[in-house]
Amino acid sequence: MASFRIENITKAFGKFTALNQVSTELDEDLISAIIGPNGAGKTTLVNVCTGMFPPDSGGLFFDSRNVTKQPSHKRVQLGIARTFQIVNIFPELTVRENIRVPLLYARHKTEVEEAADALLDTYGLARFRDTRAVNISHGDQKLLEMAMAIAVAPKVLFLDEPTAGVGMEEKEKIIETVQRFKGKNMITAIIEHDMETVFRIADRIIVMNEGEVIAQGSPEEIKSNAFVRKIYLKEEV
Amino acid sequence: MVKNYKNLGAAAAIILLLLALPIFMGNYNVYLLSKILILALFAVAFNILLGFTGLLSFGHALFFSGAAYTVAICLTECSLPVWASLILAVLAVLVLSAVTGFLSLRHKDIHFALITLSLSMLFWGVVMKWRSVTGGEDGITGIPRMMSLHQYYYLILPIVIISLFAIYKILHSNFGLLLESIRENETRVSFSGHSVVKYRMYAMMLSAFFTGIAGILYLFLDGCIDPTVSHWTFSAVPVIASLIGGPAFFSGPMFGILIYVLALEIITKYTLFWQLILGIVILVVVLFFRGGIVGSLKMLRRGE
Ligand SMILES: Nc1ncnc2c1ncn2[C@@H]1O[C@H](COP(=O)(O)OP(=O)(O)OP(=O)(O)O)[C@@H](O)[C@H]1O
Ligand SMILES: [Mg+2]
Repeated sequence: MASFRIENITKAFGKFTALNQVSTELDEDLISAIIGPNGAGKTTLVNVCTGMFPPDSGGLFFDSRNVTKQPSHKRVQLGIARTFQIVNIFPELTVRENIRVPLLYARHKTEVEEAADALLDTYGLARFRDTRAVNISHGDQKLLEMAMAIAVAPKVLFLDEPTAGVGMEEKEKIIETVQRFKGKNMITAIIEHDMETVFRIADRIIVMNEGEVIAQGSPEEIKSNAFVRKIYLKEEV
Repeated sequence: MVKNYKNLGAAAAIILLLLALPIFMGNYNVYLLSKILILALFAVAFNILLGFTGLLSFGHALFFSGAAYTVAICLTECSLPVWASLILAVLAVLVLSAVTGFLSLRHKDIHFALITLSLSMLFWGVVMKWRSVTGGEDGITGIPRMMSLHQYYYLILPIVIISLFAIYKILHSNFGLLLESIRENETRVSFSGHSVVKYRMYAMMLSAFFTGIAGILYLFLDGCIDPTVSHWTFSAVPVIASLIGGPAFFSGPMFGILIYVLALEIITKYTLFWQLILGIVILVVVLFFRGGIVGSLKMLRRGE
């Protein structure tokens, strides 16, 4: 079983410690949800895992290979992909061109065009294929970014709030897509604020607060955690 | 498809015009037309970086004059044959662009512009001071063209057309898409599994290569060279042309150069204040015709 191991990761911005000795493990075929209040360090953790910047200390291991010092494109080549909290696509390129860029890395050039059309179909973006990406809705942009991350055929996928700011209908589409990653030998980690969604899709939950992992376990275990109840389920304990 | 045929038709018409024009022209106008063709190649090559990769180089005089000086020195100082001089010039340009690329790879925007500017100024300094080889301020004269101006024009024309066609093909290939995606969002390119640094390096060397070709053609057109083509003001020429014509379009810089050279011809005849007028023209285009001449024409045609 493949796994992505995060070992004692610490990351500070100046005097502010955004991640403090964070350790956890993400397993294959499970959807792990990373939750925690604003500023808890969730995005920073994903940034470190995907090579946006190096940690100050600690290590990252994918299939027991040390990837701590690999630049992000090398990590993608090992199978570690991501989406961003704030939509991160090629705004002035068409939807189809957006998809072709990761495919140009992942596929032989004779397969790119076909694979692009297939992905656009799967993600319901076929009718926008020649529209510039700035001009489609925010929800469709989120879907496009997911399709782009999937296009590199990742073994590990980090999704940073894929449903943030999208309408109900599109949100449902995104959740269904995430659920489909299960059983495809993928390691999926999703940052999500909406607890209903979290409990619906997560097999494992990692709770962060002030740069530390304060609890991790099955949804049942987390449901009974005092901190989570206080913050998310608005209960007095 | 229909659009492609239209473009093809327009290109064919322009080529026919360019083939026919010199028949009715005297030496001076053929010289002017040659200059426009060469500078158009210069501007389009430069715009591989600005319009398509999103990098503003302010030092392209380095590649233009680097290639030209190499040929001039090889021919005069070293008495090498033309073919050997040309090969050495291409090598020189590739080395210069690799060094420039290496030093500027991780920088963008104003930082990138300043690094390229500094390197080209360094080269200009060397050209000015290394008199024994470069002739300093006086430059190098007596480069044999080996043919008449009209004949030379008909040598330039196919070279420029083939070069432009090659650049067009490259920019519209998968490689071109990667350059455009770098312009749009470097982070997403990395997270698509591509090395941004590698493709930026390729773009730099490609742009420099065709700029070098333009420089060599220019050298033989004039038969001499001096440091004005190494100076930063010469690096500004393709920048201005791209802004006037529209850097987002392949053909933008060509129209920009046409307007730039013709305007300069006309303005300098009537007034000594040509820089002032040119400045105003650029300001007006940048402020009121965003997307340049080509961008504005396309908007007009779409009826916006
Ligand atoms: N590049 C940076 N430079 C300085 N401080 C940063 C940087 N990135 C994050 N931080 C700080 O680190 C802390 C954690 O930020 P992070 O984005 O990881 O939080 P988060 O858990 O993703 O929050 P949210 O739910 O709001 O997205 C915040 O206080 C943030 O201001
Ligand atoms: Mg975040």
